[in-house]
Amino acid sequence: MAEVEPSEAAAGAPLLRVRDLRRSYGGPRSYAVLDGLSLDVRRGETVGVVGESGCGKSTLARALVRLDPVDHGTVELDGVDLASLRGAALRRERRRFQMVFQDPFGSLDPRMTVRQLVEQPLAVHGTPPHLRARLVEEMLDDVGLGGDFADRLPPALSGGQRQRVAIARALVLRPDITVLDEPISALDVSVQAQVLTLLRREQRRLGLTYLFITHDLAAAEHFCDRVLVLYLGRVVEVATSEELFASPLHPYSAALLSAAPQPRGTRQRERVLLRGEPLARRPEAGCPFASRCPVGHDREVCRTTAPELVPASGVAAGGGHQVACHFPGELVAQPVGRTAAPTPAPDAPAPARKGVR
Amino acid sequence: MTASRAQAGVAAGLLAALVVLAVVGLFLQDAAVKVDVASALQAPGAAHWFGTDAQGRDVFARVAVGTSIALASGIATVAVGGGLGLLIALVCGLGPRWLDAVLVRLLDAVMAFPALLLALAVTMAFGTGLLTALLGVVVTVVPVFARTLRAEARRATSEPFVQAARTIGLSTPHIAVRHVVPYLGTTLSVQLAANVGNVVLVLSGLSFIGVGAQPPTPEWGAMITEGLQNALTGQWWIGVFPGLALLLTVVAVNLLADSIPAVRAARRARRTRRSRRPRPNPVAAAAVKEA
Repeated sequence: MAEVEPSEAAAGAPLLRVRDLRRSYGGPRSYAVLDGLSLDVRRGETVGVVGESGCGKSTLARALVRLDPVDHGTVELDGVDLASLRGAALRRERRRFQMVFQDPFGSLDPRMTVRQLVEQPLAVHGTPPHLRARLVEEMLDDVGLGGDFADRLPPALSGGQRQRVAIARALVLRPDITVLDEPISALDVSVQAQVLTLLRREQRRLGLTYLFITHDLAAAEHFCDRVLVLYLGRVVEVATSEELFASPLHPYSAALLSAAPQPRGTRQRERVLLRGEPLARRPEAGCPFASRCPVGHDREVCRTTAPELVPASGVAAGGGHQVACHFPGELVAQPVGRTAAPTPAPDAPAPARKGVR
Repeated sequence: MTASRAQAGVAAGLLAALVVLAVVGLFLQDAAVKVDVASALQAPGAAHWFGTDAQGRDVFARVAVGTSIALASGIATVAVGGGLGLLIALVCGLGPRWLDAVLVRLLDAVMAFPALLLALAVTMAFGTGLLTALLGVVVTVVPVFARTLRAEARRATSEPFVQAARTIGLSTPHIAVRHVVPYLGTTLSVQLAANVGNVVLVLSGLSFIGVGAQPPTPEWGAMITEGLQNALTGQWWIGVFPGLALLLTVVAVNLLADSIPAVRAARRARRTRRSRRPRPNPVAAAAVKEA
């Protein structure tokens, strides 16, 4: 495992510094899908972003690589604010941040050969032709698509092979940071591990930094150094992946992790069932998770005050574990068969909320 | 599949014949306008294959020259109109939304007029003649291309591979040329072919009603008008042969347009299959030779 020691990783300025990122959709009555999101990524680490559908994961990815405009906030890569760049200056900087898309069937132009696809980024950024051929050759060998594969067209490749071409295309520029937007979710399970292994190997070889967007919690745990939990456009918890998966502090994280299937043979966790339906929009006031929260649904403070993302007290101080919750750690997903320790409320039936289920 | 191949074959055959006729026409330009009153109104025969008209001009020569005029002006008009239309479509598809909205309204306004009327109006405004008729027809062709291609170009911008090209650092004009134009390829080629037929028809129509090519010019529409004067007295060949040539041209071009998508798809599948075939490996080949 390439886990970075927390103390070592904490040293030095972060490579990517996102502050107060906002992104809204829809005209006059617009709604902020990303609501003041901040995050840091240090050089050489892999940061995972997890969360349910609609929480803003892909919006975040698209805003970071400037496929969509940024409404507000800064995205600093090594001190350069990408959010304020435009035109040619932005295009020049693009070689420093690359993206691997979810859909390997759509993200490669079906009319270009594998060689052309991998060479294109180099040509765009002015690498001289004689160098290009060699770099492309090397890169394709690295991803296991050397030789005859270079002359193939994408429709003649399998999903896994296409995704490896997409990875080669992104990494051939040696980007400072690579945003992986669900890079394995469109692939067969048998190929997923292969692609992750390839990404890990290239990371070690080239000293790459990844932002890994996924809804596959097992992949996040295995692949990431740190994990961010996103809920309705806000970061609700950040921790090293070991710590997050061992002891999630936010009730939403705990519920999310408890819902992930466990490998056979390990002890089963008790599922934490959330009340109500996921909200499409954040409530005006209070914690956005309050209405579904097993811990805070009936507490006044959760209804009225939005919690800030603050360093978690107690647990492994210095590990950078942060959580946005008034009552962190109250909800603990218990292994089956053990009594729950401090349960916040007795199992009194909750007051019926909108609709009957 | 085979049906469309056959269709493409028929279209190609007809077009080849028309092109040959047009080339022959290039050498018959003098014959087409040579007046010979002594041999006026002769029926089709060995001396004059398609007969002669009221002024004794050889109808075959005139039809042949008319073919070269029709094909040249049809292709030129569609090339210019299609090119402009493609340009507008790319600006609409890849440019800012407000510009797209403005241009689309303008195109809709132009398209609200029937093609023949619009071409007629433009031609009248600039004075009659073949060149102004061409200009009028270009004006009608541009919005047709712009409107159909614009929708496709818009769709292309949401294709992941176009977005991927953006993240790699390609500028918008480069994306347009490198990725969007090939994406439009099939639609563009179908439109080009189909519009050649329309344009030839509209141009002949303009000449037929007298605002296009003027009488001495052996243009099909103008010839049909002339032929009408003799139709009642039995000299059918003066108007019928140019009419047939016009009919065959339009049919051939439309058959071609219909078969383009299938033919292109088949060609792409073939290319993909070929790209999968392993290239001969020099080392292995040498080893085999040694053995």
